[in-house]
Amino acid sequence: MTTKTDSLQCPVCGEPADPSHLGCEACGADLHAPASAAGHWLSSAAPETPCAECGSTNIDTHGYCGGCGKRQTRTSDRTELDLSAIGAATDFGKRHHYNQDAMAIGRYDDIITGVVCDGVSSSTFGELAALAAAEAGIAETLAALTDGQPVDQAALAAVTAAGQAASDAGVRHPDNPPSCTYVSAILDARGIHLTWIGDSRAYWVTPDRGYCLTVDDSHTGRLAAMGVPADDERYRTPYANALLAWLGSDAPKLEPNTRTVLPEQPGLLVVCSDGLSGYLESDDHLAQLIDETASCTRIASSLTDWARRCGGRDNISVIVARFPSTAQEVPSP
Amino acid sequence: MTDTGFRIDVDHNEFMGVGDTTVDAIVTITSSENATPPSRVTDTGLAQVIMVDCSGSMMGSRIAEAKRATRAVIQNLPDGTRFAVVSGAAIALMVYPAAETTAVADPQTRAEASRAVDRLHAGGGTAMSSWIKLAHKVLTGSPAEVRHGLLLTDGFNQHESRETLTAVLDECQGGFICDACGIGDDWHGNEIRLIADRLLGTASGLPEESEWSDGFTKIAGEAAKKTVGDLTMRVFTPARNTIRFIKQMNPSIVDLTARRTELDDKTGDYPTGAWGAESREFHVRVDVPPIQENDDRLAAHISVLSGSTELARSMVTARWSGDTMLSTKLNPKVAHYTGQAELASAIQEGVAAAKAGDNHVATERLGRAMQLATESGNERTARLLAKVVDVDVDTGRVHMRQQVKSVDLEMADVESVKTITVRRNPDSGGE
Repeated sequence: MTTKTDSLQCPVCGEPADPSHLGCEACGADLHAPASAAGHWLSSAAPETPCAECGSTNIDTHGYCGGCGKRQTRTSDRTELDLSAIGAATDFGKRHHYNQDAMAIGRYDDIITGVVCDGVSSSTFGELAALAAAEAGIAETLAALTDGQPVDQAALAAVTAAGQAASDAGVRHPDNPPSCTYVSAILDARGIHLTWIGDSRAYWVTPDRGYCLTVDDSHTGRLAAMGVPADDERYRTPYANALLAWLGSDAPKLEPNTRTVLPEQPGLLVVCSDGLSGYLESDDHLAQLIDETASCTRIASSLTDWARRCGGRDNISVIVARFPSTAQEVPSP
Repeated sequence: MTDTGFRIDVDHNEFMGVGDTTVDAIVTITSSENATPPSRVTDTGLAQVIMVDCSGSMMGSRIAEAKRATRAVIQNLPDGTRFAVVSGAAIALMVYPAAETTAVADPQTRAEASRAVDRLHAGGGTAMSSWIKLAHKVLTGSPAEVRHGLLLTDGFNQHESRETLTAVLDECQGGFICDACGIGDDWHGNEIRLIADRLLGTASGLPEESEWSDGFTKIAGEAAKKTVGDLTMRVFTPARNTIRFIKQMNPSIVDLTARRTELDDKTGDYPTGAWGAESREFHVRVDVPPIQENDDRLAAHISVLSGSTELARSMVTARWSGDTMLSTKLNPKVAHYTGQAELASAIQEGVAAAKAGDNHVATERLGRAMQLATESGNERTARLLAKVVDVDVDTGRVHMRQQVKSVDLEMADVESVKTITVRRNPDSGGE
C-alpha cells in the first residue's frame, strides 16, 4: 500500500501516480522521462550512442560517424515498445544488415494509435524515410487529437506530415531518394481508423479468423482485391509486385487509402510490415499464431519471432492493439 | 533545396571485402544551362587579357600572323566584355589600354585596340612569369565574375628558371584562369601544360600559322561561355580517413590534391576554376579503416560551392559485402579513368625519353600509350601518337618513326592530359 505524496501524473495516460515508482501502474510508461521527451509516444529509433568503434559522439544525420566513418543505424535492429493498451515489436530479420522498418505507438486520452513504415530497400537510406515518417505521423496524430480534431482529420494531417518528413529525409539523392511505405491505425471507443500507402498491412483477428483490412498499393494487391483469380496472367507481369505508391521526395501525388472498421465483437488489430505478412499462408493463419491471453507487446514479439523462424528474409515490424481498447480500464490499486 | 542547376553524381566501387581500405570514386559535377549561382561580384560577365609573345623568335611572318589572329579575337569580343592586350618578351608591356586595367569592348575600343596591336614588333627574350604577373595585376582589379587570360607563345621560357615561373604561377592561382597555347614549332609542351595546369586552364598547340586566327578566336570564345568565376569542391572526410588524391580527370587531368585549403582537420576546399554549362569528372581516392563484416562506412562528403553558397552535395560510402563478385568488381568509370591516367603518364614519360635520346624507353612508353589510347577509344590522342610511333598491325611491334618532327612530340605531350569520358556504348565504336 503506497501513499500518494503529491499529484504526479503519468505523462502517457494521465493517471495519478506515485513519484517513488519508476513506471506508471496504469500503463507502464516511464514516469520520470524528462519533460522535453515526447512522453506520450514511443518509436523504434535507436538510442543515440557514441560510435562503437571510436567513441566519437559526432554522428551525422545519416548515422555516419565523423570520427571514423562507421555507420550506426538510426533505427533499432530489435526492440519492443509497450504502452500496455498497444504494444509493438520489430526485428531486422536474418538477411538484412540493418532494420529499414520503423514503427511508433502513442496514446492520447482513451485513443491509441500506431504507425508502421517499411523503408524501401531499393532506395538509398530507406530507413531514414521510414523513421522520419513514423515519428512525424504519430506526433501529428496526437497533436491533432489534442487540438480536438476528429479522428479522420487527424489521420489525414498525420499522413501528410509523414510524407513531408520522408521527402526531407537524408541527403538529396536525385536518382534514388529515401522512400517508405506507411500504415497507421487510430483506435477510439467507436472503431478502428486505418490510413495506408504501399504494401504494409493491417489485420483484424478474432480467436479463429483473420481478415486483411488493407489493399496493397501494387498491381497484385489491386487484382486480388477485385477478386481476380490467381491464374490470371496479370499476376505474373514483371512489375506485378512493384509499389504504385510510397512516401519520399520522388513519391507520386499523395492519395492515401483510408478505411474505418466498426467491429461488432472484441478482437485484435495487427499492423505489420511485409516481413511478417509475407510468411502468412492465409489471413486466418494469423489467428493460429496468436495467444489471446498474452499482452499486446508479448503477442507482437512472438509474431516477430515466428517470422524470424520462417527465415526472416525481410525486416519484421508488428503492432498489436486490442479492441475495444483497454485504455479506459485502469487497474484498481 | 532549390534547383541550383548543379548536380553531383557518384560512380564508385561501393562494395568491399573484409580488410579492404581503398575507396575509389568518380565524382561527376554537372552544371546545366540555367545554372546561375549567386554571384560574388556586382558585375557578371568576362574580363579577358590576351598575352601575345613578341620575343625575337616571332620576327617575320610569325608576328604578322599573330597580330592578325589577335585582331580577330578582339573583333569577336562581345560588347561589354572587359579586355586588355599585353605584349610579352623579357618584360611585359601594356598594348591596350595604356593603363594597367581593362577596357570595355565597344566599336571604338575594338578599333583602338586593333590599331595598337598593329604597332607591335618582335624583339628580345622570353620571361613568361612577367607576362603572367602583369595579366594578374590587370585582372585582379577587374570586377568581372570570370577572369580569363590567354597566353600565346612560340618559344620556351629561356630567360628565367622553371622555379621562377612555378613560383609566380602559384602566387597567381585563383586570381584568374589561364589558357596557354604553343604556336609554331619551338615551344615545350610540358611548359604549356604547367601554366594551364596551375592556372586551371586548357593547354593546346597550334603549329601551323594558318590555324592561328581561328584557333585563338575559338579559345577566347570558349572562355566567354563561362558563367561562374570560381567553383570550389569541398570534401569532408572522417578523422580516420586519408585522402590519397583528388584529380580532375575529364575534360583534362588536373591534380588538385596539393591545392587543398584546410577548413578544419576533416574539411578541405579544392579550386576547380571557372564553369559554364558543362560536366566534369573527378577521381577521388580515400583510404578508410579496414572494412569489417557488415560495415557501412562514410568515405567522404562532397559538395560544390560558389563563394559560401552550397550548390550541390553528395556522399561516397563503402559497404562490406560477403559476395566476392560484388567486392572485387571494378566500377567501369573508375577503371576507365585509371587507364586514362596511365595513358597520360606514358605519353609524358615517352616524350621526355625521346627528347633525352633514350630511344628504348621512348619506344616502350609511347607504344604502351598507343595501346591504351586505342583500347579506350581516345582517337585524338591515338592520331597524335601515330605521328611519332608506328605499330605493326601483324606483330604488334612498336618502333619510333624515322624523322619524328619535334613539334609532333610536343603536341603529343601538350594533349596528353586531355581525356575522353566513358563511352556510353562500347559497341558503337566511339564518336
